[in-house]
Amino acid sequence: MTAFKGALLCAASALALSIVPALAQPAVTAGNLEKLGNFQQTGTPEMVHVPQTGAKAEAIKKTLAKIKLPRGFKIALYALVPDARHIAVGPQGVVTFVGTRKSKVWSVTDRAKARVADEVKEFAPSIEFKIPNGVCFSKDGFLFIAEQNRVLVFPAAEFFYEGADVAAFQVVKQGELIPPEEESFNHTSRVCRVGPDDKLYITLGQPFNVPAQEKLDLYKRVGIGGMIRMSREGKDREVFAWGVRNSVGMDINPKDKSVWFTDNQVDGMGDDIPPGELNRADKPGMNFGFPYFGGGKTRTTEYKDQTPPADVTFPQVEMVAHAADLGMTFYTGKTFPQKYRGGIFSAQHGSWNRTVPVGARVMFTSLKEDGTADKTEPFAEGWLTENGEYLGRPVDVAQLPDGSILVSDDLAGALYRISYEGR
Amino acid sequence: MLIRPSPWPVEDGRQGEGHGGVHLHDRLCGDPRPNPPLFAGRELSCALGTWLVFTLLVSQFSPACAAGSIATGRQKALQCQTCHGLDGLSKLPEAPNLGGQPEPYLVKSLNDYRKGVRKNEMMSVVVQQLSDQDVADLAAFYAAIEVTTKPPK
Repeated sequence: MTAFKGALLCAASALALSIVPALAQPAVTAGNLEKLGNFQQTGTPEMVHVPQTGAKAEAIKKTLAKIKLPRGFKIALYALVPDARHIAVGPQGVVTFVGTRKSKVWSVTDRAKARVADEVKEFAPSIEFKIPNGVCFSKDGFLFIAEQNRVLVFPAAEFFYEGADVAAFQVVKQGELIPPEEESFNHTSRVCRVGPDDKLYITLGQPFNVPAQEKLDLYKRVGIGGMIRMSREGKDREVFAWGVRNSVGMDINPKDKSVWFTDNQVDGMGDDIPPGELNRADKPGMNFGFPYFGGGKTRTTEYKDQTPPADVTFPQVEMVAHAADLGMTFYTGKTFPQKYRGGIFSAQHGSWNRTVPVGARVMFTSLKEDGTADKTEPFAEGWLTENGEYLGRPVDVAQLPDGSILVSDDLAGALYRISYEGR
Repeated sequence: MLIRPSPWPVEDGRQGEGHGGVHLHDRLCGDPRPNPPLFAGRELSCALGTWLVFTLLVSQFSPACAAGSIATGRQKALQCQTCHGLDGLSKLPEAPNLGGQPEPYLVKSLNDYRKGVRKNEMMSVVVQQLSDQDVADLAAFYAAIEVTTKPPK
């Protein structure tokens, strides 16, 4: 225990040391965004670098030795990334960006192509981010960052990220993603994707466990408790899906263009209900049942006397209750066995208030010929110990160009790489 | 007014005790077990409710508050770990550090959530399943975490 504490302290002080120089710099101002939009320098010098070796890395490697995977797969530490949340792999394969629920976005580079990152540094330090959780790329290399209440775009991010100043523009201005009075710390991690229609899709969690009736009109109109889409320039905004509680994971099936998303379900109804969800939207305007349903077909106490909408779509997959299904990705690689191709990898963060914790693993869902869900099974597990302690909490899954997958973990502060090494 | 009948539901077996008031021990520790002999059956009048007296009583009562079990509290804290950590350090931007917090403060905070006088989307949900004993155990565990600090120069 003491040794563990020591390791933790050591890692923390190393981190603190590397952050100190940044504190001495001039304050980041809103004017910087304007300057960056005009390709002007802001005078923001040093970027924070995260050391990649030391006691913390060794402790995580020990944890990874306990992770169970199907035969032939291997998991390894890819990078130490503090508070690592959602992942966006650059389409050129140069760099991977990782969002956080705090104020930083990290760039992760494997310069030696050793399948291990050798550099992790702060992205766009001249911009002040607020909960920059959602990161996603367009095929032509524009990086989108969906914050709590703003969306930014970084053209040629894989090129500009090397310096402190990066080309940056606002897609949705501060305070216009949701009405500012609806801002909350709760359920405010956005995720995004650029769809095959070249539109930007963003999930918007609603801030309550179950919202009050008088909130529903506004939420329906704005798309809170749902998913919105808009042009890459932020125009033609529409509510794409509604009746969602708090989706923190989304991807689009390249085969049939259907939009799939996870949803976190109602708390306080006991350990075993309602189930978590993996949903499929094959057209705009679908209603997924919240707040009338709290997950699956479980009615919420608050709305039990009301008639739910007739056109509710139920989930494709009901996951174990309270496991917190978050980030997901379709597997389009060729290096995993046939079984996994075209299926979905999704992360379960792990329950936060269940009497006996569940989750903290990576799930795999295969699809049927018609594009609906077939079977769901655990793929990588072992971050939850037998006595209920979390050694890590997976957040998101993303695919690298070589067909391996990355898993982020915001408890350990790391990215893991899972590869198939054969029989 | 510090000492007054609590709006908190009366625990089993308490109703028959015949006291009009609520023991300070219970107010501070939220613990339904019998009071220490010194204070058994004693009804504290409102006149005592000055801050000075309050402070003195807190210090006198502290040992009684330790009735919570640290080991049991650690087990129960598995439900708290994703936000507050088993090391007592916050794991989420919106969660506070609990390691080394004063025990009476932890008890009061949890009970305030249980009573609904303090509200939070997450805390108000999780306290529903806590008993007085759970509160005492959790407070004992988090208060027992040793914390050292290094203030900036």
